[in-house]
Amino acid sequence: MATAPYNYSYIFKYIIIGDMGVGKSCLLHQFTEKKFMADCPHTIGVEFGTRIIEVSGQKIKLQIWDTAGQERFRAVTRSYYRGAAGALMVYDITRRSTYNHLSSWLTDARNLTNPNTVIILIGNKADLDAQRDVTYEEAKQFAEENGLLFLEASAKTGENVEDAFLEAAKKIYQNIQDGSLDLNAAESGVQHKPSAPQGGRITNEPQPQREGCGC
Amino acid sequence: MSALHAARDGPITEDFFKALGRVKHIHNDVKVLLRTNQQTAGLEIMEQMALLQETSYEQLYRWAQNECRALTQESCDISPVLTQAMESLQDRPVLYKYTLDEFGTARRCAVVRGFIDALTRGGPGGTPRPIEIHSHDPMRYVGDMLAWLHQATASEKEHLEALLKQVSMQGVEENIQEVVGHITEGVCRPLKVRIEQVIVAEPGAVLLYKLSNLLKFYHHTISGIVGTSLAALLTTIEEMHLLSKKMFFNSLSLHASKLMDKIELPPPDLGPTCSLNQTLSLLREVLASHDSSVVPLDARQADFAQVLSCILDPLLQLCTVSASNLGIADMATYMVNSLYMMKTTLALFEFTDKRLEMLEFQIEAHLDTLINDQASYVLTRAGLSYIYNCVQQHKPEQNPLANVPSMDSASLKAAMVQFDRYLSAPDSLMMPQLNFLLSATLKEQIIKQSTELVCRAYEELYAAVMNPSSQYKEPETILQRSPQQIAITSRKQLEWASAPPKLMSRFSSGELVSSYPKWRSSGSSLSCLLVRLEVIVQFENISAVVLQELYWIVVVVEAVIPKKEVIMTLTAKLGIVLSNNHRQEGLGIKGNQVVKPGPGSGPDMGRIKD
Ligand SMILES: Nc1nc2c(ncn2[C@@H]2O[C@H](COP(=O)(O)OP(=O)(O)OP(=O)(O)O)[C@@H](O)[C@H]2O)c(=O)[nH]1
Ligand SMILES: [Mg+2]
Repeated sequence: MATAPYNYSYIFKYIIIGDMGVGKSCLLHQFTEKKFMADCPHTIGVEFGTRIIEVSGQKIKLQIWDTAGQERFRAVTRSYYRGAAGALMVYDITRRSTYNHLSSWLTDARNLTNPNTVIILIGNKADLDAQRDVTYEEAKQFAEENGLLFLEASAKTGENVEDAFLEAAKKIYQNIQDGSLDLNAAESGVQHKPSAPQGGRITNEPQPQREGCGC
Repeated sequence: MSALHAARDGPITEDFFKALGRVKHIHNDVKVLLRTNQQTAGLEIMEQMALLQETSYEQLYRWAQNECRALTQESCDISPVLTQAMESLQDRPVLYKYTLDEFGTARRCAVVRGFIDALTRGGPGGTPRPIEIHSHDPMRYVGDMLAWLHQATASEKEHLEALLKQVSMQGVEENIQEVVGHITEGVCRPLKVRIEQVIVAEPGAVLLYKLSNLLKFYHHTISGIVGTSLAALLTTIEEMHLLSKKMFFNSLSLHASKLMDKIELPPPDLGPTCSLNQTLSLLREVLASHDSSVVPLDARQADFAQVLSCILDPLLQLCTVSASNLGIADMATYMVNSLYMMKTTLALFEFTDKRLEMLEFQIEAHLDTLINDQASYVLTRAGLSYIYNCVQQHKPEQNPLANVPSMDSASLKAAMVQFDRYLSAPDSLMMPQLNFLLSATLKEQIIKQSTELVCRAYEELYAAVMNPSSQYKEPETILQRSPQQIAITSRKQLEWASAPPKLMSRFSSGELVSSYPKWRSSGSSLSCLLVRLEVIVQFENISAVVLQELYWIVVVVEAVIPKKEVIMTLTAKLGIVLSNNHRQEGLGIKGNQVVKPGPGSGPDMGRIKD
């Protein structure tokens, strides 16, 4: 069997945060199901999705926690920042208020995650360029000033949705490679499965070469 | 075949499964031989194959058991070979079950260790901080623990799904739920001990209530993963939910009985007592804290009913008892104020219709007292009291009215001078108690209705004096004004004098607007809707923008309802409030009309969901 011994080598935990209605659940749905959910209900508390991606030849499983943007759930959703390796901070490019609230989202993210957590800023609903209320440039500048990755995306057309999740994963993977992320520590948001030989072993004897079915 | 033999002390490989499959196949094929004359050969082969199968399954089981036993790390990745092993083992239900048990036990250890680490150690370099750091903040502490467990439960279910993804027999879903239940059983004790500590530390009624809702929320969320099965974790969470709720109601009852222990006298301004204010703010906090949870509607309704009877009934009793030594007008004023405070507190919450109606009735009863008292106050001060009494008690068979002592023309004329003075400023003659009324609207209502009573008294007097049998000479020189004139004059004077209602809202404007869809979806009756809206439009710190938004919601939502008068009343009210208070905000107000907001400025009705 030529496939890798395990389905994936890492699990990265992500959270998606941002005001209500900015399209967090739609982004997640687009990413996991490749479909746009036009009439997505408000998220109650938190929801959860997974998908396996590949970064530098490594299979990585993303475990993504989509939080409710409504203020009344804030106390509940704050508990999910713990141990996230990546955070997608989303605003709606057609609603300035959602952009103005970013600093409070960022404060929460910084206070409640670990210093290595990779935060990516996402301006969603890029398909609605005619109703744009936040320019690309100012958001880009905000991201740079705060050391965030940044992309504009559309959960509707799917534009940049893959990239949003992938860019963050690449950065996390890079942090692992250069050793700035300690995998042995609890709640780093990353779980590593060390490569094991094909099949487990019952004894410690070296694995002999086997032939095919002998019957 | 050698693959099977080799496995006895070697690793399990892809070949092992191929060989096992082959053996199974042969075992089946050989059955054909049994029906021929080759029976002996057939039996021999079958026996051989059966033996081989059994030892292989045994082998596979021992291997899988060992694999599972090793899965005690926080990370748990299921190798494809292990998945395949489970697929094969389903042919031997006992071995399959034992392997799953082994898996469950290993994962149970891992989850307990992970939980304790998160509680006491936190993340790398201490971020995120250990959960126990926040043990002084009950909501955060309990919330963090439950969120951690929610995430762990979801992950464990994923692992199991990976492990069993190739198992095709029936009941896999139940297997998964059962094992997840077993895995999460280990954390029940540490969780329970900690939550119990929080609850018995008596963090106060509001916190207890919030905790009970938080626990209910997580019960709901986690049962979405482990199903409604009797997982120990769910049982523990439910137990803690019930405990916190019980402690909550205990604490409310305690509060109420303390109120009755030491009854406060009404303050000199006849306003609400400190204990009333305190209790109402407690009530408000409790009702408002419901917002942060997703407890199903019917459960919430039951909660509200219980909370209200726990708090409101003793409060009403308290007010009645503390008012019992007051004079009639003082008592009515004090009661109206207290009831009014209760009403404005409740008006913003759903499921309060019955209570609101009851409070309305009680307020009206006391208002009637005040209206009558105010009318006699005016008649007395305006010197009409004696005269009016004579008119009322006079019988036609008696002396003509003009001959009754002190009912002669001169006395009547003198009284009319005084009455005229009253008419020029009908609001100047006011019982002192009315100035203590908290609600300007109620005060206005009392003045208006008592003035009507005064006018009616004048009407009776007028009719009696004008009656020829009363034998007044030139009666029109005594009473120079007709009752109609009196009524019109007094109404005009009142309108001119009426000040815009003033009431400081203890609610933020956002709360007012966002509470609206809740009463609607909770099926608030139209009459209560009006009560609620009336409370809102009286708040003076409510911005025009908010008012306009409310107006817009009401027009949009209520337009389908036949009872147009609700909208009309509200429209008129909003118009007055807007033009009185908020001209400076530059809204499009023409006269008393609210201009419809342009497209896009109305509330996003599409997102208001029930
Ligand atoms: N045109 C357009 N509409 C979008 C896009 N993404 C989301 N929407 C719409 O925006 C609305 C809100 O999307 P959700 O995904 O539910 O928003 P959310 O951030 O999850 O909201 P909460 O769960 O309340 O926090 C939905 O009606 C979507 O159809 C997008 O990229 N383009
Ligand atoms: Mg959502």
